[in-house]
Amino acid sequence: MSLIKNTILLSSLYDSLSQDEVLFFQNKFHNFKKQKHQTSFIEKSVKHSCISIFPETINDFKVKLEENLELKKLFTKNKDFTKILERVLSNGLNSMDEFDNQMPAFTYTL
Amino acid sequence: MIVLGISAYYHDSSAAIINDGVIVAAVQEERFTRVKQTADLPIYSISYCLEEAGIEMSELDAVVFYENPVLKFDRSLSLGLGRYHISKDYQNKLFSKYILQKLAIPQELREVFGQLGKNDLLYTVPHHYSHAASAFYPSPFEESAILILDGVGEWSTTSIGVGKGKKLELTHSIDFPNSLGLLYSAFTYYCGFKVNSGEYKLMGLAPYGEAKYVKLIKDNIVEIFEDGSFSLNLEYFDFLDKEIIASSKFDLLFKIKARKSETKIEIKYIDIAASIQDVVEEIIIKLAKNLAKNTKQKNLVMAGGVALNCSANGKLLLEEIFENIWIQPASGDAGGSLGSALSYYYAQSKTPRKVENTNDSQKSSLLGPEYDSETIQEYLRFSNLPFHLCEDYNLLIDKIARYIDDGKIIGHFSGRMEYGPRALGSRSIIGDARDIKMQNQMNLKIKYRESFRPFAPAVLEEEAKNYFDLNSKSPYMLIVANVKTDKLINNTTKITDPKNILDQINEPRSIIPAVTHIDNSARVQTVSKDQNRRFYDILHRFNELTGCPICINTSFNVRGEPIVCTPEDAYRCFMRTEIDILILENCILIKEEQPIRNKDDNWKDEYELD
Repeated sequence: MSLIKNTILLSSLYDSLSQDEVLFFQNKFHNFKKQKHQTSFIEKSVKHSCISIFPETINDFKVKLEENLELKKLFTKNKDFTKILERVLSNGLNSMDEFDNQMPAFTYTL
Repeated sequence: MIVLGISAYYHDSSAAIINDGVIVAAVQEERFTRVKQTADLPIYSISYCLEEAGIEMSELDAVVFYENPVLKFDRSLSLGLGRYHISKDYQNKLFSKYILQKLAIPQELREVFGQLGKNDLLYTVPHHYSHAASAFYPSPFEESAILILDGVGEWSTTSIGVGKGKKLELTHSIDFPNSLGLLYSAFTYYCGFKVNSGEYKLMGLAPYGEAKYVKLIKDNIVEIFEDGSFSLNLEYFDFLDKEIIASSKFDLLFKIKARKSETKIEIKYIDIAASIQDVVEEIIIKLAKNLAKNTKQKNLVMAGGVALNCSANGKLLLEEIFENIWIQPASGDAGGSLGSALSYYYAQSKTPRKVENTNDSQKSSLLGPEYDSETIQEYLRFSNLPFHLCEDYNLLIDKIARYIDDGKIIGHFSGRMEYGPRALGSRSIIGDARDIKMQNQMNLKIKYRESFRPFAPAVLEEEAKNYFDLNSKSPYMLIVANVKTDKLINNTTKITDPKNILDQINEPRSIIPAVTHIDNSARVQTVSKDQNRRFYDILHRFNELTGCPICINTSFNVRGEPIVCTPEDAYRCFMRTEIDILILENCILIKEEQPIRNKDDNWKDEYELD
């Protein structure tokens, strides 16, 4: 996938965010400094190894994103993004040439 | 149950295979592709592991990847969207790399190897669980505290927990962007070394300096809490926006610009190196104290890239917070393949974990390919390369020991290749540690690397206590210890000429000057009879001849080159450098007898300098 095409992909996602969602992601790494802390340790919600199966379909992928509602919303809001991810998940790199050739169509819809 | 583990697509790709929890093989992909720390899908390593286990991919009980792609995707996309308004190009690059590579791994593997195990599935284990499993399960401990120190996994950068029998739990983490690995890497970059490989150089440089900027760093760059956790001031870091890690605020804080690679090392950078090393050691010791207090464990296991900081490990050992410490020799991401396989096995297996109380089950980390004498002879004859076959083992050992005593530099290639970044005797360059000129000579004429970089001593395990302040084994060269006072010639670390600190490497400080660092420390490898028989025999014979049970041991490669894997790699390295003698199993090759080659500087183009 060329950088230009990918730019369109990521910018499309970015453009689909509401102002609040943009702020959510922007603040994600900066909240820590705003208040005084005694520790930066976070207690793990799941303490065991959680072996899982590598997601190979978009549904598997969405299910595994349950903990991150903001990202999950993106899949619902941006169908083209979902379509592209689905393609990558199901066909792998082997089909990237074909994917690349079809990319203008995606670009147009984006 | 036979399980294959894979790590790929960040750095240090590797594969490992285990059979009922016993490690069969483990190897880094760089050794085959000859690209140092390659991130490629480890096709060659997987092929080797399958061959070594005598199994096809489709027959495996499980194939496991060393991190969770959904969580990694979560971080990549969150990061991309959160910073998109600032650095579109970088975020696009990051995202593109992710989409293209990480999500397509199962398909890529199937294309090469067909069905992925009996279930045709790829399993995943979170990154820090892979590290934790690689540290705990091969350790000689029934139970222990676990400390993982890393750049970044999916989100975690530091994790703590406990392992008991088969059970492994990580209870707390410090998450991205607060990262000890990224902190050290930022200073590595700022001092002019390459991130992800130059950290070792920064550590080697630190003892030459004075830690005069510790307060400045703690007041401005990193806040350290009492429990050892820490918080980075992100104004000093660019890793959220670009590939450059340290921001220009470093220049303002230290009043000097970031050092350009390969330029003269000003004293200020050396003092900065000493300072960040102090800060990192303080954090690690505080983390360990907190961990000991909360877990009440007497043993500690460690992994993650920062666990390769052997100076910090040495300080940690001296603190005696834990009675015993075991560190995974492939602590970086290369160890993820082994950890993911072990993690899967112990989660699924109903068999109890067996622990040997004396030795670990890492098999001396000699887990890679080996080449028997017949194969080597065939290669040498086919290539018309003159050699001497020495079929008498004792005579061969005697000859090697005598060569070292004569001041020769030996390329030693024998047995299975090491897994992890350190050469432990199988793919090593060895020389006389008593020779004052050896460090400089080896750095400049053999390794073609910076003259300040220290070499490690390999010492007979039973003699280690007589030469070093070390009360434990260090078979994987992961602990720095001081040379004993009675072995020092000049018991001082005082800098005599502050303007030419690096020139002082040639001043003898002990009776083993070539392996004694400027602060009278040494990165010790203890060698035992049961763990590495042939290397032990060489050191033993050398000791009989000279009264010195120590040799220099450095990895068999030139700067920027992965450690040699095959006899061909070894011969090429031998001829490109001023190594005097090459030992390929029981074949001896002498430099003067080899066909004359034109001066071969191709390696400088072939390998990207680290």
